Formats: sequence, structure tokens, C-alpha cells
Amino acid sequence: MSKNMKVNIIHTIMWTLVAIGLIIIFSLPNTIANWGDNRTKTILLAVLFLLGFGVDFVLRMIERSRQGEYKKDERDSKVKYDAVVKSFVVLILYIYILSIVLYSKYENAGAMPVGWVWFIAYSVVTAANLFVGIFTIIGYKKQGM
Amino acid sequence: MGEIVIKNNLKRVRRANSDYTQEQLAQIADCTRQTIIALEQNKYNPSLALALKIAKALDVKVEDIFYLETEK
Repeated sequence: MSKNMKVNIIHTIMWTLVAIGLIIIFSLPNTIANWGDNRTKTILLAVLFLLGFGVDFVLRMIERSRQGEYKKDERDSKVKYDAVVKSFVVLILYIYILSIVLYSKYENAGAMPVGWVWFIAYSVVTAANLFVGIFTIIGYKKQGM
Repeated sequence: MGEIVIKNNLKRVRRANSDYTQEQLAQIADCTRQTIIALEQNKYNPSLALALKIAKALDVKVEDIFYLETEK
């Protein structure tokens, strides 16, 4: 397994944990409905994101400091490019489906709890990082790395 | 008519024309060893630039390494 693959696995595991945390927090009773009263949960989500982006930052610093070990070439760029393109498509579908579901749920209500807007914001960023990680791993696996 | 794909016999040419290991060839061609491995397993098609660098490193023509094949 190449070092670049290991970095992507760590990235994906971290963002999977962030996604699980996100789902748990938003699944708690009355979270969406009473979002304005959820200062603690807002901070928890911020901490989760800090962890996710923090791990990514640390991984980038390690890659920079050991450039010889983490050498990247055109194949790595191609794998990453393909992963980003596929992730973009999946993310568009995710946003579309989520929007339609929320619209259907609140069509007759006249208003939608603001907590859902926060969920969309956080989940889209989490999903983007997660999908890129997953498709990058799949791309490397296809080439036997 | 089947799909036309790019194949290579890099492994055979590397061993026949040089004493380079995969790592050494990767360093000369300015790519990673994983890319040379992927190439030799026909799991990756290189850019023109990389193909030329590899051919130059092995002192052969590009078409001696890479060729087109029709898959049925």
C-alpha cells in the first residue's frame, strides 16, 4: 500500500467519524426543531469540523516535510481529479435529493426549521470530503495500489 | 469492431534493455515506483510526456513499449 493511499485512508476514516458525529448530533430529539437553543451542539459540530480539517492539515504538513516519501506524479493527479469529478456528481445528487425530501416534508407547513439549513451546510461539507476520500481510495485500488 | 486500448510491454523491455529496477526507472522518468508498477500491470496509461521519458530512459522508441490493441 502506497503512502499516498494511507493518507487517503486516514482522511476518509476521519471524515467518516465526523459524519457519524454529525448524524448522531442531528438525530438527537428536538435538535432540528430547537436549533436556536443548541449552543452546545453548535460547538460540538465546530469541534468535529476542527478535528476533520485539523487531521487534514496535519497530514498535509507531514507530506510536505517528507516530500521524498510522499512523491506524487501524474497518476496521483489523475486519481485525485477523477475522484473530485465523481464526488461532484454524487454531491449534486445528494443536495438535490435532500432538497426535494425537505420540500416534500414541509410543503404544507409554510416554513422549515432553520436547523435543517445548518444540517445542509454541515453535511454538504462533510459529504464532499468523504466522497473525495472514498473515490480516491477506489481509484488507487483499481490500479492495485 | 472492438474497443481499441493502449497496452505496453514495459516490464519486458525494461528487463531486456536495462538493469534498472522499477524504482530506478521511476527516478529517471520522474514518476513514482507505483506508477511504473501500474504501467507494467497495464492498469494505467501514461501521458505522452511520461511515455517519452520512459522510452528515452530505456533507449528505445515509444512504439517499442506502447502499442494499440483491439479488445473483443
